Parts: sequence; structure tokens; C-alpha cells
Amino acid sequence: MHIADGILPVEVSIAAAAVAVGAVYLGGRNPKPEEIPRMGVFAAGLFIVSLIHFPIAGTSVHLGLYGMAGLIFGIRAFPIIFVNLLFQSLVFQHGGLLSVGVNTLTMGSGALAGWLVWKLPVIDRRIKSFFCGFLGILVPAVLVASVFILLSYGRGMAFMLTVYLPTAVIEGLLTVVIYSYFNKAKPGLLGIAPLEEKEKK
Amino acid sequence: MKKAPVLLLSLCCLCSLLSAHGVKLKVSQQPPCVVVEAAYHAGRALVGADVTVSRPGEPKAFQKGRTDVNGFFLFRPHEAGQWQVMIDDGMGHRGKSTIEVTADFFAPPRQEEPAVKTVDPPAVNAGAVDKVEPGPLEAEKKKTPPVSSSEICCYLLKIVLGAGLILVVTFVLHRLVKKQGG
Repeated sequence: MHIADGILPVEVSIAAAAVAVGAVYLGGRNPKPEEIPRMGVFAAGLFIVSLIHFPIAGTSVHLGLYGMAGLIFGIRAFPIIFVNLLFQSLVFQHGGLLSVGVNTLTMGSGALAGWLVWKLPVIDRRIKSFFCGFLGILVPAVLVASVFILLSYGRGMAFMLTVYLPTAVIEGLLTVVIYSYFNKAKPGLLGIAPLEEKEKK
Repeated sequence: MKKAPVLLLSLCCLCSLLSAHGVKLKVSQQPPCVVVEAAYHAGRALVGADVTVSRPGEPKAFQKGRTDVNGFFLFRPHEAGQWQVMIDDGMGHRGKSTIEVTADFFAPPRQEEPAVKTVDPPAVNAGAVDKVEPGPLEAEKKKTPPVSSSEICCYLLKIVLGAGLILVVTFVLHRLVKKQGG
């Protein structure tokens, strides 16, 4: 889902980078010392997971865990995603340095969507965790497709959704598995409060 | 929780076998054509991707087309100089390469080793089927391995390097914040 350098006009990339800097600053300001190792380890994990690729419809898609990042870190997901994209760009030439800003915003929107879903008070946590993962992929895909449509580039919204809907479902299920595992094994590790007994029943 | 390191290690090994989706282009000059092979980083071909061939400094494209089912695209330059090929899968993944075509490219092939063999089409009423030797391009396709072990090693090293660098940055930041707090 990375937008490579040269696809967007330079002015758009620079404007998006400026907004992304603001989002990264908001997400990363005043961190508690104990938060930083957790964020760093998650960023490294995100870096590794985003290298798992599936061939779908002649293209290549990968897991992102952006919804999971939003679920655990809320708005602090922005610096995590930024660092992840920056190193992907430097080490693997994914995307490009000029488009790190726009990619941070699109992927970060997935994390924000996940965070908002997680904040909903009424739904069961497992269902919420599924939609965190699901929207964590789908929202960036829709945003990227919309940008492409505005630029008259790419193969359109229907194609993007065909490719990314299965990925979003897989990511949703994976988020449920990860959430359930850590909820049982060590609830405090991811910073998520454990399930209430009545919710477990 | 004791299984967590094993799970993480397995995930790393799995990652090393799977592909990144940066685009790499392999260009070979086979007069009178230039052959471009487009693949994602671990070797899976870019199928049906948009290709634009142009000369640097010229706004109009020389040729446009799509890669075939094996990720190949051929074009025939008409003069020496630099040629630019850009391949784009329409999903945000893009690869670009500049090719230097020299005057030797247009030199006529030597008589004893013709570069292109002309094969007569088989007669309609022929009982036996003629065995046609594969052309240089087909032979090239067959011998191209999907992923070499050195590529996998390089990929694994990059994963370790990237994740390691992120952890180093985290460590430095953590120390800084702790110092400021203390």
C-alpha cells in the first residue's frame, strides 16, 4: 500500500509530509520512559510483519498491524508508523523518502480508525479487535485509492477493494488472535486492560 | 510465554522466505531488442504492469505497454543513447531504470552466428511436428531462478538490520528521556 516516490506531485508530497510531522509530534510528545521500549519493540515487530506478503490479483499485499497499533497506542501509533516506514524506505526502498509523509498519514489513519473502534463502549472486545484490524487496512486502502482516483492513476477503487478486502479480513482475524493470546498470557504487556470476568462469560 | 521467542524466530525465518514488494528491474540488451524483466524484490513477476519507455528530456513517451505473464517487456530502440523504462503496477509500486544503448547495439550480426534464426512455419498437412529450439528469451526465462539463496540471505540481513536499527534508536531515545526525567 506504499505510495512510491514520483507518483504524487512533489507539492502534495511536501504538504502531506508537513501534516505528518505535526501528527508525529502530537503522537510522540511527552512520552513516559516506560512507553518508549514498548513503542520501539512494536515498531520493530511492525517492520518485520510488514514484510510478509501475499500475491493477490497480480499484485503484492502485506500485513500492517496498523489497527493493532491504534488499539494499543492510540495516537502514539503515528511515530511508530513513521519510524517503521522510514526504515522500510531506507533499508528496502519501499515507498521512498519523499512519500514517507503521505504514507505515514494514510497508514496512520488506519491506526486512528482502530483506536476509535476500540473506544466504542458497547461492543464485545473480540469483535472490536477484529474491526480494529479490519479497518486498520481498509481505511488506508480507501484513502490511497481515493488519492489515486484524484490523480487519475491506478486501477480504481473496485480493484483496490478487491485486493485489500481479503487482507483486511485476515488482519482482523490476526488482531483477534494476538489480542486474545496476550489477554490470556499477560494482559498488561500490551497495555490493554484485562477482560472483565463478566465479559469473558 | 516461553514459546514467544520461538514464535518470533519462526516469524523471522518465514519472513526471510517471503517477498518484499519493492520493484526491481533486470535489463538485458539482446539486439535488436531490449528486454526488461520486472519482479517484486523476492522474484515474483509483475504481471500486466504498465510500462512506459521514454528518452530522457523528451516529454512524450516512445512506447507504452504492459508486462507479460512472466513480467517481461520488450522494446526496440531505434537509436543509440539513454532510454528510460518505468514499470508501475497501478498499486503504488514502481520501478525505474535508465538504459545506455551504445552504437554496437545496432551493429549487424556476424554471418556465422546470426542473432535471430528464422523458423519456417510447419506445413499444414505435415504428419510429424517439427521440434523448434527455444529462442534466447525463452531459454533465459527457463533458467531464471525465482529466488536465489544469496538474495534470501541478503533479505534476511536487511530485516535484521532494519529491526535492529529501530531498537537502537529506541534505546537511545529511552536513555535520553530517562536522563531528562532524572
